[in-house]
Amino acid sequence: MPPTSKKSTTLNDCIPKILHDQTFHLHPHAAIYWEEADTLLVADLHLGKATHFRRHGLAVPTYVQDETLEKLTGLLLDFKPDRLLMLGDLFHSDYNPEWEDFAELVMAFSHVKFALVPGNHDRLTYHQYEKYNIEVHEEPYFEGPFAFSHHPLEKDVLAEAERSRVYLSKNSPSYNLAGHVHPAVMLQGRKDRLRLPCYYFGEQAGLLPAFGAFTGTYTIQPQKGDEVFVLTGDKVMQVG
Amino acid sequence: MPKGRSSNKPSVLAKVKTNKPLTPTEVDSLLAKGKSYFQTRGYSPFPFQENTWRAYLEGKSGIVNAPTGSGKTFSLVIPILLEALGNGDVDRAGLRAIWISPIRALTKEIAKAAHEAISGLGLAWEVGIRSGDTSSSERAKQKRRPPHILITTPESLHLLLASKDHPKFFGKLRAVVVDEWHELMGSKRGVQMELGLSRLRGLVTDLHVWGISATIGNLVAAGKVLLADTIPSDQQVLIRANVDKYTGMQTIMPEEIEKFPWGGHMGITMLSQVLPVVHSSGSTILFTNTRNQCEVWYQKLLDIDDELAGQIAMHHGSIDRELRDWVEEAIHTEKLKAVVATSSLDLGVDFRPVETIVQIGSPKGVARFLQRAGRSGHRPGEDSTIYFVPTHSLELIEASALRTAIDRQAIESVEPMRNCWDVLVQYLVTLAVGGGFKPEEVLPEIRATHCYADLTDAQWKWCLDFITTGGESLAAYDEYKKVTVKEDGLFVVEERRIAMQHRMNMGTIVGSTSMMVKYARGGRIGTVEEYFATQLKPGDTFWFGGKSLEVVRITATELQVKKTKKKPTRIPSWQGGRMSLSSSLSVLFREKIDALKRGEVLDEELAKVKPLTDLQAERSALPSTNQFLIEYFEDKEGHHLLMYPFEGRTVHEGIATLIAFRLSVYQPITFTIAMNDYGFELLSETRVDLETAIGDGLFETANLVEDITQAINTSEMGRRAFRQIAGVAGLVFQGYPGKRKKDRQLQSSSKLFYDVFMQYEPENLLFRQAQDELLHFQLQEERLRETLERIQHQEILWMTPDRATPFAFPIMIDRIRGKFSTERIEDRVARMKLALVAD
Repeated sequence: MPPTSKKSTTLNDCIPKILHDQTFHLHPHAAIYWEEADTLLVADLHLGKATHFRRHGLAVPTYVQDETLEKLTGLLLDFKPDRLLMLGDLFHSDYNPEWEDFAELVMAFSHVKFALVPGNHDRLTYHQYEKYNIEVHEEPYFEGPFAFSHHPLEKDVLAEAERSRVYLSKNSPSYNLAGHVHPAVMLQGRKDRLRLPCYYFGEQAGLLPAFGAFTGTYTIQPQKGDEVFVLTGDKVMQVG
Repeated sequence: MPKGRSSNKPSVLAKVKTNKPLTPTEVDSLLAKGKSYFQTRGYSPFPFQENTWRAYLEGKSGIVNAPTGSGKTFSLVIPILLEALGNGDVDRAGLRAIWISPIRALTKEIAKAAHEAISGLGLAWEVGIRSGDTSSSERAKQKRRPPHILITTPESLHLLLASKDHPKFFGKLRAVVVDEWHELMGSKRGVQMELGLSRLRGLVTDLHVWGISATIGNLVAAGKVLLADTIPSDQQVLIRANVDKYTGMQTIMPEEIEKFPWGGHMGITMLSQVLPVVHSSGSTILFTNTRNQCEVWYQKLLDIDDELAGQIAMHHGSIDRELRDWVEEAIHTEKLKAVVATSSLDLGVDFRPVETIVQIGSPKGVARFLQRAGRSGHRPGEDSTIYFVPTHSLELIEASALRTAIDRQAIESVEPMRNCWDVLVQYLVTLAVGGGFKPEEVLPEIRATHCYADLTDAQWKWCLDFITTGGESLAAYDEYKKVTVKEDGLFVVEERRIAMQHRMNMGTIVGSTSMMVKYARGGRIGTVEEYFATQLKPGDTFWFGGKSLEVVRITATELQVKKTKKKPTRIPSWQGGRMSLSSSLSVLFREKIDALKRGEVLDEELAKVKPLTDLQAERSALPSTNQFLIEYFEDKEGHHLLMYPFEGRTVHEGIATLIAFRLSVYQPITFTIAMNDYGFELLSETRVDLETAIGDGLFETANLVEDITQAINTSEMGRRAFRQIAGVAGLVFQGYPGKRKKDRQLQSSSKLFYDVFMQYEPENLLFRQAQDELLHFQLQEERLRETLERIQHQEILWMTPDRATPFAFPIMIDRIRGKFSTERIEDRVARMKLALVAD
């Protein structure tokens, strides 16, 4: 594959969103490309969930995970980012063999740095991350003017964390980007209604849609002034 | 697995015992004993009772067709005991008879009757009750030392089959009686019953199987379903009590039809006319059609007449069992002046003291109406009156249709379910938990049931695969664990955790998203749907169970409240309350419209409603029985297309979806769909070319199934139907009570499963079952097909009124709307707005 013309066609599918003078490209497949940091952001992959369910006698088809991994592979090939930053709930189980499928992907993209802010479902031992050189950052993970976390951070929690930082950021308070919620919004037509997964950006914090195929959504109720971008399948569209 | 090997250990499924039949002389002398026992109580048996005793003692099985309060319990308790007397079986231990009752409310009364007869006939037998309410210590005791007669539910019977020593437990069983079989038969609990019986017949030879059923249109078929092919037809009998009490119906007329609402289903405007009925009667049950309506009527009765406080009560399915028991007891002991109820009082204890029955809103079916009418206490042969209260104008036509239907005895049939894979896989896991099963031994039993009579080898293999490998060819590292196959071919559940999880799930044949309403200081009040609870926050007030309550806190599973003096504004609503007009009534409804069109007014209801139908004729038209009415008009809401098959809302849901799908072939379009029992509306933002579509075969039955399946897949309906199936088949795990959090890692919604199956495993039988059930039961494919065929032979009355007609109005104001769209999501999003805070 030619190494040039990086991302241009892929970026056309995205809508750019500026936060603290940095550009975040919102992709229709529930991933954000952070241009200045050459980083792809995703949240809530929930890998391993199918096998976890099957182990407990609930018959989920195992190939659910394949779609999530294929989608991720496609994005990594298209954007060729320097780093993949995952905002929690990467693996929805204690160790099971589906982890090795993900490990294969990690090794195939050896030039990409993999980083994880663990979420409430991430129960793997640190050994598993070390084995495949996946960096682990406890939340909140500060970088530039941003605080990355799995759980959306309450204002005072974030403020408390900022106070304990060694170097105070000049951008304080940081803008929080998080997962966990699997956000969706309800759209209302004259008589038509539609519930779609979305990116959400409030004044101080933003949410990423869930990336995994075997995940549900939670309907959030945005306030006036918030920005919401819905995923229609092939497109991202701003609705508020 | 090795087959046909000479086994050195006895099979777990071996037959346990045999019995020798009674001689005719023995039968006669036992009958005489029964009669003399009745004489000591001052009665002689009704003919149907004596006929049942004889048939039973002659070794037959059958159906007793008798209503509540007719002595049906004694028709079967007595011969069970007489047979024991005949065999000298008066004091040995062991379970002899199982009495299945679909509702717990009945169990106490049956137990009381059984106790009476046992001591009267001089046996030393015990009677036990086992249901969801039975304490675990009581259950353990029952297992160690089974009562002679066990009164239980289909679910509890399956739980007993899930215990390892069940062959011993059921070893001395002689009889199974299934009470209210008409009620069970049309549901999955009926299928559970068929399977449970198939296993019991495999365990015990010469088992007496009897059903008790109220009058339905297909009693003979109902008998065949219960008794199955294993009992020779000359050994099956149908005994009719013929004590059905004919009911006169009196409609409480709205004073001025001009001011009476065109739509809605609450009927509150009739309150002041209903009140005198309540006052003049010693005791009254007011039947409403939904729990929400029940709450509203109770509240309004108190508002209008505060002297009723303390004298009236409310009874519906979401009120806590203990409170309901209290209400039932209070009716029985004549402590209450009136009870506002829902179908939760359709069955159950004999309310002999109740004088008057009031039905608020159309009962939608003849059988239901007669059942409710039969709740009042009058002796056989004595007429009684049931008051009908219309909630909107067109229900007057339903009242007229109802009366004609009763005259013609046009009572609905109950259709048994078929091919329920969810219940079958649940049953197989139950057997695997209960000591294991061998497929070749249970397959013939299962195929002998009505539900699985056509089970193919491929479907059977799928079910076995589903419980052993999760339905997939084994992946290299697959760790699916549920049922394991042992070397000798025995299918067993080995892990205790899986067994426990299965037992927990078994009770949940009805999926529940309900939340418990409790006083913060303790004490249960009942349940509300999660949907309602999510709209509340602490400090909010609502009416529930006739109390004004304030929310204290909301936890994951509980709504904690306290009593308040504030006047609440909300009343909870529950889904699934609204019944659809039955086919018997639909036919008559169309005849009545025809009669009105011809100006032939034969009863007071039609005379009353005539000004309204005249207005309908003036603005649009009234269809005769060979015409099909379509109305079309445009206003600021959009393009309204209304069609009136008069077939009931479930059939309309199917036709509306089908028509929407077929119209969308011409252009990408979004419809919102609304319907009631008379017709449906397709509302769109653009005009549809109906003339062309009709010319192209809009109402044709060719490709009906294909078209509607496609239509379903693009709508929410399929997901809804899948929910229950996923729960029964053990696909979704609700978590152990009180331990939800711990199992969060295993929680998932059935919706997610539905999407996953649709995408990755469309051939999954459970997924297909969801579509079949939807087609067959919800959309009623057969009726749908008949309706389309009827429409094709009808003359189309294509009217373009300038505004909503009396027929159109009630449909248009219905808040429950479906949606059908073939437009690209992006195009729809472009037209929509974000729903901001507060829906």
